[in-house]
Amino acid sequence: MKADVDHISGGALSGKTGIPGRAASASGTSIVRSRLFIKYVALFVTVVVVALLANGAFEIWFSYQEHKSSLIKIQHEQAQAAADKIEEFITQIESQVGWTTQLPWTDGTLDQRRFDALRLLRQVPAITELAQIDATGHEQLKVSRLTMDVVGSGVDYSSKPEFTQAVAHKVYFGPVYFRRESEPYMTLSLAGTRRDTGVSIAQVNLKLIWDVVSGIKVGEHGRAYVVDSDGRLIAHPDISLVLRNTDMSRLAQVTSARAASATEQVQESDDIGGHRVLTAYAPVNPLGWFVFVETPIEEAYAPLYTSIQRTGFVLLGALALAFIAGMFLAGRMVVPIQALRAGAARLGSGDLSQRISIKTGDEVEALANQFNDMAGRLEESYADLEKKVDDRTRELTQSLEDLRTAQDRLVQTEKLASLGQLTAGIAHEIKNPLNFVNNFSGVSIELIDELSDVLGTVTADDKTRADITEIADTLRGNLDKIVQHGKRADSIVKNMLLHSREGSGEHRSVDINAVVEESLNLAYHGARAERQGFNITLERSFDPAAGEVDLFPQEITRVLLNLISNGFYAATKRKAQAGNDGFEPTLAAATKNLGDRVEIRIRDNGTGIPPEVKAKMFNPFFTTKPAGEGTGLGLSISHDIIVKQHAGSIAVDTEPGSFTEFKIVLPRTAASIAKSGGQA
Amino acid sequence: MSLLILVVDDEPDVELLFRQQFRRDLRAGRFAMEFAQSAPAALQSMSAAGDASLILILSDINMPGMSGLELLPKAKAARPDVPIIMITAYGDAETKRRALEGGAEALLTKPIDFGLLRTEIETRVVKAA
Repeated sequence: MKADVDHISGGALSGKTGIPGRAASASGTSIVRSRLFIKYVALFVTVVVVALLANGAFEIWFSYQEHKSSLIKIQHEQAQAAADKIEEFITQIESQVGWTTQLPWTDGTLDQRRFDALRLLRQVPAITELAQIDATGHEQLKVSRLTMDVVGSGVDYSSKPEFTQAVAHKVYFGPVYFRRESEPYMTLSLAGTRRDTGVSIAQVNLKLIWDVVSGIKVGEHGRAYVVDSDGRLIAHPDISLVLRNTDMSRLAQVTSARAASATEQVQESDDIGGHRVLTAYAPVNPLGWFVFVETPIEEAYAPLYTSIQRTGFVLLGALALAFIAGMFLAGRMVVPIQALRAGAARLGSGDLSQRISIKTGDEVEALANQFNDMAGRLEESYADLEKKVDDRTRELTQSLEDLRTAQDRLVQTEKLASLGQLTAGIAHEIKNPLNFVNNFSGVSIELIDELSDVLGTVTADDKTRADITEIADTLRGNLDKIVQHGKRADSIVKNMLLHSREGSGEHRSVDINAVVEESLNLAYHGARAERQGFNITLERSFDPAAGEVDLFPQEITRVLLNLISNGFYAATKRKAQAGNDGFEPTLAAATKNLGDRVEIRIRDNGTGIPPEVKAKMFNPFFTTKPAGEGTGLGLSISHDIIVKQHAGSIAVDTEPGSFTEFKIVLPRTAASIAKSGGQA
Repeated sequence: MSLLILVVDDEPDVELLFRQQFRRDLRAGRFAMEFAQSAPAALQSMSAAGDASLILILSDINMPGMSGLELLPKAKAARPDVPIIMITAYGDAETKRRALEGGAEALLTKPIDFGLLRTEIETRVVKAA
């Protein structure tokens, strides 16, 4: 059985199944196992026992009936045989005595009769005494083995039953009596066929009946006995009972026999000693006697009891066998169910890689297979679900990360925007004092000139005049310096305002070379102002035929500033990496006339852009710079300005560790194209 | 009949600067200049101009209280015949658009280009004379 059922243990998920869960399912299993198991065993044993018991009971009942009837039959036959013998014996004696009543008293002599009687005694040993009575009832002759013969005694028998009964019924059987307290005798009288033949009275020794009765042996304790028509005991192996003149008429079987109801023979009854006996009888016809044959119940049924005992043993054996077979069969039925249940429990606890292996080839196996299919499908969808959850989680994590980055960038941008506003505000406020500085110094130069003119008209010595002129010249020179530096400050403020978002300005036709030049200068000075010791070689190759382009100068300047600043950053970074091995950071700006379009190239010999960065570099907020150094909006906004606002194109060519070149192509009528519907 | 130019600016030094810049014209009496340090003060000066002929108003935009752009429609309402030139540090397109829409003749950015301003004034003075 064990070989039929084993459990294929799965790999991946088995670790997840908790030990408590297994223990719980195991204990639950054992409870159910015993229930089902006991149920099956009990059912099987009950079925077998009922069948065997029914069979045994029927067998015992029928064998009891058969046994009993055969015993009764045998006893009846024996009784009949005994009765026949007794009857024959009596009939023979009757017939022998009959001979002595053939002659009428007148015809023969007394001697003749005596002689006949003596011969009869000699021939029939059972007859002990013979008396001959004449027709009038007087004894004429008496021959006896025990006493002297008596002739002509004349004893009157005429009123005695021996005579009257014989005359009336031809034959008379007297009651049994005993001589010498041991031998049974009976009087038998017979009347002759004719009226004058008289009556012969014979005293018959019934010892022979005893012999017959004693000769009958039924089993060990079986016995036969004879009762007369009155129910008195005539012959019995126990002579004392007979001698006590026992009355048997109260026994059920005797009553029944005397009532001659042959149909309702009593088969079981009590004997004279009160023991249960099996009994049968046969009548002795002429005498009205009955021969009974009886066997004690215990002896009669002994074989039956043996048989019952045997059946009992067989039943016990069968019971044991049924129990074992029941256990076996129940085991066969329960174990696969058990395995199925355990498997289902494991599946239920989430161990979906488990498969139930049952090879019984019946419905249980089919059920197990269905469970396996179900588990397979569950496992599949579970794995699918887990994969989906993983994917979603990854996506969400990515989104969250993106959002965080975007948030950081937005905060940064917001900071920069407010910084820009602040810068713009400061720049404007600086413009007011600058206004005074520049204009007052301008007026002051005029006033110095006027002072010189006034001094010309004044008389003074040469030395004084020379001193005054020198001081005025120095003052004019100082004021010129103030004007010059004031204008420089004004230029810086202008650039600051240009770089801030304030006012995107209007589109107009501008010299593209001038725009690029201005951007280069702005970026260069910006970078120098930002970092001490910054230096880079700038190469310009402007196409004189580049001409004018209608565009938003501030926006294009923004783009160029951004690209150039990036170029500076990359080239400087490469120099920092290269160290002092003669690398010279260079940035080249070029323009080219393409007819109705203009091309601008900004190329640096910096670190280049890796492919994965190149793919994302125009995305908003994408940056490779450390936090705080870039907003990640530069290239994205540049892209929007070139492509959306000016309907141009921006492309990048790069080789990591070597160079990066941005190429911008703008239509001549870039701004107006964009305004009239090019704003894709 | 004397010609008058009204300059509106919250900076007191503006008066000094203008008077120095136009000292010859002022000395020659070609026109007179009046200075107001706020928009309300400017409106008061306009109404109190008397027999002097106001030919031009120069106004700053960024001022505490009423700004130059707010002053513009009021001044136009009071003296629709007087041209107004705005002078501001904010030379962006938006400010320029609002100033012109409000009725300003022109917009000059700071630092003030006095060469340009002188031409403007000269035109008005000649026209008025």
